[in-house]
Amino acid sequence: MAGELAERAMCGEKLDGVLIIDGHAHMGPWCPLQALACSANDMVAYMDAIGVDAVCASGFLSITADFRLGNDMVADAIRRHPGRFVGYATINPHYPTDVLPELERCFDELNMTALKFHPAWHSYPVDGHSYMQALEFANDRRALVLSHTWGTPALLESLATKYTDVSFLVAHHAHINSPDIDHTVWAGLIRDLPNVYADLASSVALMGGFELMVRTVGAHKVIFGSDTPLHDLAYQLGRVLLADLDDEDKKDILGRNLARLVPGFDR
Amino acid sequence: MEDLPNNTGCKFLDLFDCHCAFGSYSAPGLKVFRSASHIRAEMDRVGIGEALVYSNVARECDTQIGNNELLRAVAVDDRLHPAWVLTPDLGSWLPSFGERVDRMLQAGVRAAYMFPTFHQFTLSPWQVDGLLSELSEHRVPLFLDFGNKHWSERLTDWDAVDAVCGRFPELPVVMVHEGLASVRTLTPLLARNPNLHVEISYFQPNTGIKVFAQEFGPDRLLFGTGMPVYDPGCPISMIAYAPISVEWKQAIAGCNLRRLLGGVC
Repeated sequence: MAGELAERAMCGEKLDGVLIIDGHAHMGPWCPLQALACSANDMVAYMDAIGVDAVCASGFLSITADFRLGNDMVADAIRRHPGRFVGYATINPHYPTDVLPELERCFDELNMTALKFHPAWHSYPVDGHSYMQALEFANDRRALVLSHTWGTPALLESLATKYTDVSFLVAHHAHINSPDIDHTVWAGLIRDLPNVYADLASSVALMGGFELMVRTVGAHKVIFGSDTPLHDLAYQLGRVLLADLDDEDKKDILGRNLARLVPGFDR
Repeated sequence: MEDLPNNTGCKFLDLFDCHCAFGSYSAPGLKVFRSASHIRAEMDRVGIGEALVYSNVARECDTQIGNNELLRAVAVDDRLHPAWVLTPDLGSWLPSFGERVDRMLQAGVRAAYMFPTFHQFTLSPWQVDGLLSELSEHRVPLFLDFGNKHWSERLTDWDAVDAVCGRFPELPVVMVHEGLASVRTLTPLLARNPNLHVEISYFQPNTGIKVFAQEFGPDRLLFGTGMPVYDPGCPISMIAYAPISVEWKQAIAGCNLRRLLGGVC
């Protein structure tokens, strides 16, 4: 069996003493699916049962119908559960004049410290005017930005070399989820650009695909993410906990890497 | 906020994987189980005691060659249990469904896998009832895999599944590799059909194990991995950390499958 963390996971032992920060979470319902345990209270209860310290969350409402209301929902969770939620400020790029005021509100009034982009849902190019405003803001605040997609590898490279104080988190790229797709270009960028990291979240977990990516890009460039409460938090954790990797690499991926990128985890 | 059980001091789960494939694939894959020892090595790595195994050669090309190859591969292995891939082929030149199921049972095979989408058949009575009536008579668990690879796909014919469960109430039916988008559909179907079960290799709604076990009882969920295509760590961790009793976890981990296989007559 693969190490102490795997043995603890197989017993369902609460993971006290291991820093676990989920870099890709959401909050609230998303009605195309029947969501379960998606309120902040339910999420914290499940985090407590497993031993997850914190999740970085954006509201489904923030991404979809009403970004202000969604950001307020996340801010309320941050207030009611100190230390358990890192807020992803989320904007709708189709409202360009609202981008900077909303980001300033999120960071300066709502205690959010990172940004979430979803260019696919918004059908908006990641190098469009609104996102460029947001990246300028993130660069000034030295913030982490998680994006569902960064367009092409060339575009990510140009953005990451221009905004060197931004930490770029590439969603859904810390694994190989289709043996037909050539991941080497993305993996090369994540490995070589110092401010680019890979997020693990994905519903599909091919056997061996995560370990292969970790060995390609290095454990120090991989961030655990679950997409919870869309996905079951423990299901997603299992990919790391029972992986064919050593425990120090797993601990980097589970929390230590992200603790260096977002405020509040100086331990 | 609801208090959930504090996960300390649980014992290891007695895992019996109901969804494991043996043999080669035509598609480029990351892992392949070419022998029983390959399967056992991965089972040992993640603590799985036993597995119900079907042949991918049988799924992908030739049921006869694949099913027989599987029998030879696992013949002397008390941890690996064969499941045959069946198609509802009907013709006067073929053995009857009764003869085919008898042959399966005589070979020690106590479970059947069917792939309606990939094998291009319907679950309509005129298509499958001859075969399903034989399986039902012997209480052979039927694992139905509609080929969904992502939760956004809608390949499963839920009306047909509902109808099969209703026509054959003694037939244990197990839905394989259904995703989180099936919550809305599975909830009324499980309520309507006591013989319907869910294999959980890809079933990952947040705290779904607890919600479904509380709603329908723990005996409706079966541990499966989808190895060698899918990562076994995910469903193992999901059961281990499910906020339910250890007894319920053990039921899902393996007892339910043992009960279904033990019910074959």
